[in-house]
Amino acid sequence: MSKNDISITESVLPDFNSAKARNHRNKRHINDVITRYLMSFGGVSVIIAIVLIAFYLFYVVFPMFMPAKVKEFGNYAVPGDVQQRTIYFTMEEQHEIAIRVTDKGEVVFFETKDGSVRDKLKLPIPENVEITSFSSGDPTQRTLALGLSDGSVILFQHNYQVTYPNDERLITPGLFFPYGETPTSLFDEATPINFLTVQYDGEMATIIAVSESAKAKILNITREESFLSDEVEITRKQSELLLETPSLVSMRMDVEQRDLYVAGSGGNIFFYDISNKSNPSLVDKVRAVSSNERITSLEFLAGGISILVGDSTGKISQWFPVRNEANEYSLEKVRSFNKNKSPIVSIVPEYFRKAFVAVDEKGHLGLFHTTAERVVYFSKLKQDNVEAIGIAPRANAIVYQDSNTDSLHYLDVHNKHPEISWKSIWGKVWYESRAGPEYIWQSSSASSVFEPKFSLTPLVFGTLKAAFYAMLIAMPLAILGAMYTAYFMAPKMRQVVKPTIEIMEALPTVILGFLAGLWLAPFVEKHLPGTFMVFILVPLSVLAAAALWEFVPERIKHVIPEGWEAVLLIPVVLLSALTAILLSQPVENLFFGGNMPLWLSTELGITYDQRNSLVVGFAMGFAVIPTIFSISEDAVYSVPKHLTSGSLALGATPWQTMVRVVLLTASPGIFSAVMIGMGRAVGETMIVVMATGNTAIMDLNIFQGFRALSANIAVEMPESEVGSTHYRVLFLAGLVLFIATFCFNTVAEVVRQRLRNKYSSL
Amino acid sequence: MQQNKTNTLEVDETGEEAVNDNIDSTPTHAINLGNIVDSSGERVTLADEKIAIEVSDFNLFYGDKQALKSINMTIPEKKVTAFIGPSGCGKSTLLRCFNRMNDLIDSVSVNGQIKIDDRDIFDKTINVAELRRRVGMVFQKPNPFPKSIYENVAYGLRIQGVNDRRTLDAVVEKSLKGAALWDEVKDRLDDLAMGLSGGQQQRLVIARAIAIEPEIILLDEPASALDPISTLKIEELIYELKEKFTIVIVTHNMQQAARVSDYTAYMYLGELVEFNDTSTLFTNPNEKMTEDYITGRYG
Repeated sequence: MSKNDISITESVLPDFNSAKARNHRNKRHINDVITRYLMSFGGVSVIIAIVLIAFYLFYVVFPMFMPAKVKEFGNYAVPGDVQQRTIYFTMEEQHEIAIRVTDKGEVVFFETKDGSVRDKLKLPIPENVEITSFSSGDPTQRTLALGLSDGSVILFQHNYQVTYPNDERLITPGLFFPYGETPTSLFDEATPINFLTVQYDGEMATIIAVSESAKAKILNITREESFLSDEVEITRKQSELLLETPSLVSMRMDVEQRDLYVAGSGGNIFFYDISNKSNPSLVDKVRAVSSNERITSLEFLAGGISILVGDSTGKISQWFPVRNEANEYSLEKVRSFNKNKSPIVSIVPEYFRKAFVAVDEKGHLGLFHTTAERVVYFSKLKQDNVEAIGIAPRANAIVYQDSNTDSLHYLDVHNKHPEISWKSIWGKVWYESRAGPEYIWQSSSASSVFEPKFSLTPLVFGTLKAAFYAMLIAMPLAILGAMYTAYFMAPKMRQVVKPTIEIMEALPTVILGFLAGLWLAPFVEKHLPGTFMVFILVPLSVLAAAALWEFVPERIKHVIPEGWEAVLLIPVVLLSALTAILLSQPVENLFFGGNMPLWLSTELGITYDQRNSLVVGFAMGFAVIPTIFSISEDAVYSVPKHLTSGSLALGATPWQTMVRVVLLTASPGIFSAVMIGMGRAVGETMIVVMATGNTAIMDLNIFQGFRALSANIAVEMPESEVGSTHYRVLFLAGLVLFIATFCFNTVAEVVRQRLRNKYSSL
Repeated sequence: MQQNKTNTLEVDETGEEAVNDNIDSTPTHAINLGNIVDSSGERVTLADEKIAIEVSDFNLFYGDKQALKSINMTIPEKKVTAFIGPSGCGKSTLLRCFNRMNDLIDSVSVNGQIKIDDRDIFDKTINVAELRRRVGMVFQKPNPFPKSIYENVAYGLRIQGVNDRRTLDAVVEKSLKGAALWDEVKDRLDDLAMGLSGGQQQRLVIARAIAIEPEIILLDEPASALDPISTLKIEELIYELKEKFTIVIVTHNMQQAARVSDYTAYMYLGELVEFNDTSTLFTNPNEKMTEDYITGRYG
């Protein structure tokens, strides 16, 4: 036997123990192990990536829900004269230097970190005249005023000049008297001013003073610079205000110098309209506290719209004027905080946010946010008996003086995101100047004292609305199409149809959105009746065509092979759609007065946006159809042939077989197709960005737009400051999408598995 | 036809020569093979039978390939007729023509006639769904629907528009009893049919088929996917069913054909080689080809 001959009896396999066989086995084993580890690595990496994404989202979102941190950084003797009582504290922007104003007219600028005095100034108070009242204007204007015992007022500002000698920041504090150092007299006689409120914005100043005998005067000073020359014209208007109550607790004027709130000792709040300085009028009078309590503190919230009322039980309530249908304002109590249990001594609003600091008699310090209705921080101070308290413009530091030890405490405050609470994100919130609690998303505005409205509810609503209308259009088309393609269509035709629809999926959604926004939206608006007629006319024409087909002679029928009949429907669908569009104008003229969108809004009161949910439904439906179609088609197609044969062999018609056996067996697949399509519709971004108006409204109306979570992230993320509340809320929106998708898919998978266990055959 | 080589053909008590080829490897079960002898003890012949299906000059093509070549045969009523032959001989194709299941395959064309009740089933006026109701079929692989046992049996009635619960209850019970499955499933009619064993599933499928009162039941290798005990049960069932129904069975198992059928047709390469009563065909075939096959010389 030659070497090349292989005998049948002789094994071609190498001996089991030979080196060759052992090598081969080793190699095989190594390949096996490598593949196994690669697979595990891939799978575990995917899980790790998902977990990391979720973790990162949580990491960005988490700080919003952390309570504020307050830490004492400095504790030193009060700078300046300890004997004098402090009436005002505040700090400059960098909270390096603080200012102390005393009741004897001493202004001390000192370093916050150790209390070393930078500058000590004496306000120009005439001899034998005492300070009887004090007022600070809006903190951002840095205007302060003293009411004197001779019926005059001194108005001054504290300013800080920042220079960089030797490349180091040097802040030089100073005082500025816009109307000169001579006190402005408001009263003819020398009567002490007991209550005072001022606002000065550089152009106009309003001073309202109440004398010992409860006479109230309004002084309005405006300065106008002439266009042609440098001449400055100063106009003074003085008027009297009739007070409703002789005994006052406090008095505050808003930053716009239009509203005046007076708290009476009887517990009432009087709201005056002083926009016409010569003719102030009482708008509303409300009882702010119950009968045996008193108002202890009255302060504006940043922006000058809401007032905060602190009372003797420790309750702080927020009020603002609300306009009713008759265009009349009334003062409404919006919310209150009951955290403090002893009388409120002092309320200090933040400069820019709708937050404030409050201290009560027992020395409890609380940080509150009104919009979020959130107590961000609450704790007892080391020393009670707070004499005065001030906050830094950026709300990152607090100074207070206690009258027990007369020492000054400098607190570092870490309070980045007070405006976020469960309620402010999901619940109805009564925002400033609104008629009632609402869901609103409005993250920014031109004003620095704007109240951000971070309700995700309208965005989630928008997302679901988009998905709903998209699914409304996509689901019937895709599933019915899949049923036909998989079950009735000729295999040759299926080979063309299926890949074609699947290619639709590859179309970038930005193009779909672009087409929807710029072509489809105007088209639908122009042919609105036609668009709706398409929905009626096309199915009717298809049915009519099918009925006609029954009467077509056999000879002609045989020309079309079985399963190709659908091709005949292409011209039917096109023609009927075209007819609907052509009929649009006549129908519009006949029934809708020539303009259906206008008719909708005038006759039915339905507002019509050009970029609306219908257009999104079309565009996103188009984007989702391939997903649902492809998966359902596979599901229907993979129903075992022996099941359909079994049904047909029992005398069922193909349609009965389809409905009773095929759909039932394919239901897990169709279900997951719908869920995956839904997931896509929920997460879809570019179409909703481009084809909707992106207005965050909550309205089921098909003719109105909406703003989806995903679109909101895409639109606002480039504008948001990294690390800001806005930025984190956008991440929260992302997290919500992530969780929603996760839940969707989990539910889908669980249901699919259960259905599959139930309906998968053999 | 590997399996047939190891099979043993048993013969009836008339003592004719056994065509044993090998040692019997399947469990022997005592089936009275007197089924090829009618009650009077007389040998029955095809000519005496009432005709259920009449096939004349029937040709079938898959595209260009001819799968059935001018078949002529008559299938007797309320008897069991078996089709045997090697793989690809066309026996299943012929069976599937009787209820026009071949319609579902593209590129099938036929000529010639198959008459049931004196009507050509390929006539344009024939309602295929109604034909299939009258000519039931059981497939090789048990194919219960993903529904409950009850709904599987009731399915055929429901598609005929019978939805009255009491009628359905009665028919389901009767059909399951007819398929000898009632005692095993009567307490779990609402369970999914997929939970049954293969043999039970096949009997369920038979119950499903007889629920709609067909005249003819086509069995396409009904026991080939089953274990010997289930096979035995199916065979016993076939024996009982022929009281009411005309049965046509395709089988690979010649032993089975010999056991259960009254008449046997041997097909080869699309042609009907021999069709005779089972006893004659197995013991004294007319054709050399038949003898070669049944004795296991090829297959």
